[in-house]
Amino acid sequence: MKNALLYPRFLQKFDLYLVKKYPLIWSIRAHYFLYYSLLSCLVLGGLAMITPIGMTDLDHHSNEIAISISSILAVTVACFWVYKTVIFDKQRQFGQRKITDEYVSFFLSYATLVGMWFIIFSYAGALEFKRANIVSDKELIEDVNTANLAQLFMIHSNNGAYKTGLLNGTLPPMKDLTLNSDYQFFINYNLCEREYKNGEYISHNYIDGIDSPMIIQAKAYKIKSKTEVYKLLRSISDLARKYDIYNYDNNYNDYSVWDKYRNSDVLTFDEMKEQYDSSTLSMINMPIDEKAEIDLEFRDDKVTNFKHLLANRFNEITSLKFGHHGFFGFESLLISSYFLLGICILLHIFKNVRWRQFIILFVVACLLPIIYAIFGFIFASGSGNSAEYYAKFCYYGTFFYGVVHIVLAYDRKDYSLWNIVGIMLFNVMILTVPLFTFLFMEKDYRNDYDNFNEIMYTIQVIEVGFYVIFMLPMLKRIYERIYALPRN
Amino acid sequence: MEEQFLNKRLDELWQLTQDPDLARATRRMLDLGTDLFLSRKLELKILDIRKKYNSLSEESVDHKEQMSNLRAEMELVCKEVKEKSKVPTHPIAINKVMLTTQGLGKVYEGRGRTFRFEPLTLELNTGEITGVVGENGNGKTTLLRMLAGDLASTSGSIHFPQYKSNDWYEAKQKIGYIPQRIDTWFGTLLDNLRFTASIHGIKNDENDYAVDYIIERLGLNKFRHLTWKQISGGYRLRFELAKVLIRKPQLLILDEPLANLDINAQQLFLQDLKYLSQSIRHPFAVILSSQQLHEVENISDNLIFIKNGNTLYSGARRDFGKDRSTNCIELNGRFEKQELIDAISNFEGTSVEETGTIYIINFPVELSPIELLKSLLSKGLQVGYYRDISDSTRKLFKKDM
Repeated sequence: MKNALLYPRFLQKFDLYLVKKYPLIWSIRAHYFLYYSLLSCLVLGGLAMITPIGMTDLDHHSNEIAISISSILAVTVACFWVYKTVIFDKQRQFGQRKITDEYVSFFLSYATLVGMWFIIFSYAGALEFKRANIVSDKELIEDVNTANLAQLFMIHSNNGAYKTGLLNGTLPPMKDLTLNSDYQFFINYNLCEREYKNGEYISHNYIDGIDSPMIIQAKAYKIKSKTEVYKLLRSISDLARKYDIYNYDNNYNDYSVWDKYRNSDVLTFDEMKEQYDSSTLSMINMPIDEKAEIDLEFRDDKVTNFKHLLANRFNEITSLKFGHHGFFGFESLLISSYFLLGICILLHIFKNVRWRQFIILFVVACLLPIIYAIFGFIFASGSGNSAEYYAKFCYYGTFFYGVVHIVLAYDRKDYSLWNIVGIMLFNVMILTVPLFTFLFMEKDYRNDYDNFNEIMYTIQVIEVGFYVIFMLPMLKRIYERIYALPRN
Repeated sequence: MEEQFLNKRLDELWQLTQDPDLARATRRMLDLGTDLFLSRKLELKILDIRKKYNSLSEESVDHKEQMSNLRAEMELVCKEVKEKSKVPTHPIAINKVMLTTQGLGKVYEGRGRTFRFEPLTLELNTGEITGVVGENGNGKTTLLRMLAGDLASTSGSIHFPQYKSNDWYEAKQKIGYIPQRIDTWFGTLLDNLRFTASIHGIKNDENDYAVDYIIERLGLNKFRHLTWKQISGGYRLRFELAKVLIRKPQLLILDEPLANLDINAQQLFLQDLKYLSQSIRHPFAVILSSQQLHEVENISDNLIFIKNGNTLYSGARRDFGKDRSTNCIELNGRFEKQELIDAISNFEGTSVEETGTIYIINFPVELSPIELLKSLLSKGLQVGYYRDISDSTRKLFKKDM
């Protein structure tokens, strides 16, 4: 009896509907594999949700193991799918194939691959979500504000405030989300552009060319009594406990600035209090009092440990909240989706081949990057232009791919120019995909690409559109004819 | 004309229903259902009878009573068919040329060995079975693969007079080819049949009926949920046949289909082939190769005998050996070769060849095989096996044995 989870009734019914009405779509088996992908994502996501996490587990480097394990699962599912349905599908007979079915099956193949791709990130992604919400937004803002008050005790504060994602301007201007700090501090604060409006300082940050204004609520804050100092010391000590600074453990490199602090002493409240009490300096009118500066010098060795480690923790949490997940950024998803499209197109080529041809082409595909590298190295040496280097990879890769297809066509006793040109064009397109992906990455290092994104996205849309509208029907016909031909 | 056809088929059915076993009757009834234009309701009734029969025969218990009920049900359906059926007034003509070849040849070269399949001109007609016989490695598979569009010829051409263009893609929609080594398939038999029917345009309810029909017709019911690994070689072949037939081919090419079948299954398979290929609505041409010479000769309308790539005979089965100058028989039994020679020494122009455990006797056409047998028996020879191969391609094998 079929397993109810693996073959649920609704899926069986849908399967029956598809096989009787849309055989080509059925043969892709996307419905099953999308379901399995969803199931895997849910299981892995669920596992992530029950995995206990603490403040010391916020760094996304720890995702790598989860991603590696999930990748094995995803690749296994993908291989199984490819093996069973796409490449070695002996059921692909010479039947009636509507072009609409061909389109749908192409996109379903793509969707299936994307579904499998999500398996890789489901565990890590859910864990990231959990990490990002380890403290609520409101709580975090309050804590940041509290920490900023304690900032007054810490000299060499650079920006003066906790430089978290909140300050990085990814949020729209909202008063409640801004940080309170000392007026004097903001006077000296070196913001790139700043204007004073209605008693508030507005900072303009330009992130990715987009104006992201922030309102900084500038208020003078003066510590009036010793009790107030204690209160601040208490609050920072509480924060340190809450954010697990006493057990700070992070995977920073040895040369990291944080590494120095991690290894130094972090004071408890009592220790701080003791040190503060032993000081003869008055805290009245801090921090603008010159004497206080001396006092702060003393604390720089000890208390600032809190500042840096706490700031680091805030940064970790806010970066998660703002979607800086390392693997989950928009750019990485875009590159992934494009990469998957390339694979999908290759599957579309390979789906009709036989074992022997597949093995030959697989070997070719493995050797291809090496051959690219050799050609690229030879022809681009001395030019120093990496884009040109890559373009040459693609050029010779295309040439090589063309040769492979001529061999395939020869095997089928078909030398028609039309077939070969069609396949060549197709492969030129495939090979331009990595080129544009490369350019996409390259733009991060160049500032003169004013309209780079627009140009690149347009090219991508045209490219994919070109494939779907013109190449797919044409290739369908070509491949049908080629693979129907008798072999030599 | 149509009425005559119907009456003939109904008479045949009537005769078959008198058999104690209704296997053949139910099969022929299904065939009748596909040959006539019946309502879906009636078609389903016929299918149901076959289903009932199949489920009864699967059980090892004796079902005399149920069988007689089934017989009565069949008679009722036959009556209904007679009243309600509509014989196709313009049936697809049997003996329509499906494929012709002109000097079709192939040369394999390599490693110092050259094999030539000498040019062959051939014509395959719907409703006819063509048997390809010959020794191993003589070119039978090469010929079949060329006809199926699996192997390119070195010379000559293949034409499909029924199609506008000579496009292999178009042709392959209507060619059913079952190679000697069947490709592995995935999933259940049922899914595969549904898919095959569907991709060839048989969809929705029609798909259900077509799949049920072919499964019941070929007796594959108990295998419908099984996969490749779960069924035997013989049933894999029957499944391949089902997969090919469900899409109503106009040319069926079978390479050694009998190799994995037991003797009963062979008979059943060939009988099915004969019946189905002569369908009035969907006739098809069959070309098959086999080492089961006598079985193939019995069923074939045409024969092709290939030896070392040369076609020694290509023509109607009935014409083979028509102009022969000698008769030929094969026999064996409990006697020595010398005893046999002595026994036939009184007949002039006879010769004896020994091929393994079998003796082949050539003798003048004036002497009938029956007379020869009588003579041998009268001389006390204990003949265990005796077959007249005067008009069989069997005698073409004997020389080099």
